[in-house]
Amino acid sequence: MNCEEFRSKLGEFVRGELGEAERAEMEEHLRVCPDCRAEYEREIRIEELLSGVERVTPPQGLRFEILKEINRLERKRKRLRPLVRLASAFAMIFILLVSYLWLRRPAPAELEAAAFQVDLLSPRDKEVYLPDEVKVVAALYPERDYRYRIYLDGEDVTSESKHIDGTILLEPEGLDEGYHRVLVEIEDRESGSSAEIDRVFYCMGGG
Amino acid sequence: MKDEERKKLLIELLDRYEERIFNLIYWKIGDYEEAKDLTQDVFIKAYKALDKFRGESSYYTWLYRIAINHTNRAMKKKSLLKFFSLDRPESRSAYYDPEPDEGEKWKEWALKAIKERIPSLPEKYREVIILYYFDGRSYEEIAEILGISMGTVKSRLSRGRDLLSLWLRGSEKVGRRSE
Repeated sequence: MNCEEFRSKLGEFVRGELGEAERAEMEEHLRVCPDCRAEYEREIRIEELLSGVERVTPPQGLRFEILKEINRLERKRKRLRPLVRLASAFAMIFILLVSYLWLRRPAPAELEAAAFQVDLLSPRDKEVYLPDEVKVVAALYPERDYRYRIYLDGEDVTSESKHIDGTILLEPEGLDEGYHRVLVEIEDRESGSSAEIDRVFYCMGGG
Repeated sequence: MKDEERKKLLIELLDRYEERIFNLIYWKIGDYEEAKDLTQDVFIKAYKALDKFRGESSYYTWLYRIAINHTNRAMKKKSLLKFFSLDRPESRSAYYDPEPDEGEKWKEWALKAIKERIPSLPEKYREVIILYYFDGRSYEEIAEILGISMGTVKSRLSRGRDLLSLWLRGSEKVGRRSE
């Protein structure tokens, strides 16, 4: 055994953790090497010192302080329990509501289409109307920024229409008897997307 | 777990580990008053987390881990504060006056010097020294508490002891030179 090997096993040797064969080799090396013997003695001293460090006694009131703090926490918890329950109920309602709205949301493609969708409530397609019954009513999504046009038999009549809160209203006058065609075009200013809807209806009698 | 059961369990843990956890923290930081506060924190944390204890490790391993993590965090904060306030660590009594072969006198000095020195050992060596020598834990238990291999426990223990030994020798030499 050389000095390097001896020192690498010194700690285990001192603590009596080596097998018999290794211990014998260590003892043999100790007998012949004064440097390693000095090292061994130092190791023994440090081992004795470390093993001789006594435990420190914790301060007397420590346990009392711990239990006091825990009692205080428990009291606080009990006091807050009804409030916590109420808050949990509100949180649960909120989560359910959000989940419901989330599940009900339109898919992204539908949402984009809805943004510029126009719903022509009147006139209905291929329907017969008396002249004073004819009303063009279109519903838009009010929160978006649109540009729209209404054509009646190919003529732009946008300026005659009113646009109030997402509803477009046109009351054409003096329509001749016969088929008429109404076309509503809408363009979303943000995305530039557009949609159109047209209807053919029959107007009775002369206006 | 009911409040009463939790409290009963806490008292059992205090009976078994209060002194040990206090010592672990005390030797880690070397400050009696602070060790008291941190020990209190550790048991309160453990009490709050008792419901989460899954029994995957023993109570003492679990409690020691809480103590080590909590103390390390506190020390980190403190060292940052020290860094910003430019405080110097306390000066240690240190250099050896009596001759090493003066037996009991040397031993008394060395023991005092070692106690003073332990809190300033590098963290990884200090932990294993505290657990092995002061708490009497086996290599296996230390490995479990610290989440390291038994080989690492042994090598850290040996390195920590070497550092203390070197430091003692250095102090002896400087002490003699200054005589």
